[in-house]
Amino acid sequence: MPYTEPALRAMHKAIAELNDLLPAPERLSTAGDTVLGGRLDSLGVVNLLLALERIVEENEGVTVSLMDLLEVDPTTSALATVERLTALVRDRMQAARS
Amino acid sequence: MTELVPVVPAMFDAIHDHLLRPLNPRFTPEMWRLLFHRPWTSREPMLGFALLDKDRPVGFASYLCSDQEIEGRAVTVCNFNTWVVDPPYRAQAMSLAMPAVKRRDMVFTNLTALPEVHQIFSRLGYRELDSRVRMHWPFPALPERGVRVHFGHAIPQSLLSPADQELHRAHAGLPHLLAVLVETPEGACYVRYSLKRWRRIPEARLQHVSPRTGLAGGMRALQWALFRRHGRVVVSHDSRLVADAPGPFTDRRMPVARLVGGARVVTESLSNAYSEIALYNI
Repeated sequence: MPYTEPALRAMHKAIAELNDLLPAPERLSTAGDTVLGGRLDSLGVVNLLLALERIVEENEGVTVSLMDLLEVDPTTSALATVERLTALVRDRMQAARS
Repeated sequence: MTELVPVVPAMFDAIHDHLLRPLNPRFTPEMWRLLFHRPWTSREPMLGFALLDKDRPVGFASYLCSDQEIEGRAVTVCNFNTWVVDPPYRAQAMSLAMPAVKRRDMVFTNLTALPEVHQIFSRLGYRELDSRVRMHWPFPALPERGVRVHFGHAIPQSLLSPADQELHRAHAGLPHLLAVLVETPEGACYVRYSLKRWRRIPEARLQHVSPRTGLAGGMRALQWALFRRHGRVVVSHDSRLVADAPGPFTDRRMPVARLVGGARVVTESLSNAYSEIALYNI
């Protein structure tokens, strides 16, 4: 699917940035089944989403907003795992370009 | 399955019993009730939001909204405070704060944030409102000539602006937020202050000064009047609240800076009135 690779690259970079802020035991893997919702605290979620928005804009020239994810239950939403969040970023990049 | 709902006064007992009482046992139910029955009116009905799990409150955020006049402009100011979520539901905590992030039709303040909350709101675009407390040390200088100082009930209402008359009425039932009017040849300055301690030093902390340039010719008279009324106190205030006051003074950093977001206004004119600082002297 288009934008799968760019979304994945942005996700890996955002997780790397977030890991720089986290203590070693709390750092995240970039594996698709890595759980995000319920594992990251509020600040971690905010930092991850803001990093993703910025990286997508810098690298792909596309503006996507992810702030609506702060309003839903992260354990069941697109924030649940790395794979689901990556898919959402991909879909929003595609929608923004179309 | 949880649900985010606007808070209404009838929810007080449930939210108090589940979330607020354990948060601070020194607060009485009557103190917490002020968040649900604020002592002032506002065009904005929002009291806050609650997160419910099968009707049981598991999260709460209070928004103290008020109608204020900022530099001659009518503005709704909502002060975000008291953000509490049961640990198993912490992942959904942000949903309670999002109205304070998304809405741009009013000013939002966050005056007494914990460091972690300060970080979150800063990342979400809140700006620094103030980070310093200015302390005017007692010194052997005479009060300015021709300045009169009126306390409490002796304040001539006719000298207050309409906005300050409203503020005066709205805060009349808050015994720790004292009122004083400094009348100088240049005009009147309405002040609300509270008595606090900083490292054992007694302070008269000015929480509202209107206009903020009004103490330029009356700060020493105010210091003397407060000395006579309360004994040896240091007059202090958030640095933004008073402009052009004479020295000597020193500034100390607040443990956590005050924050502002939402609609853009002249932030120096935002005082600590109509907030949890006014309600609880914190």
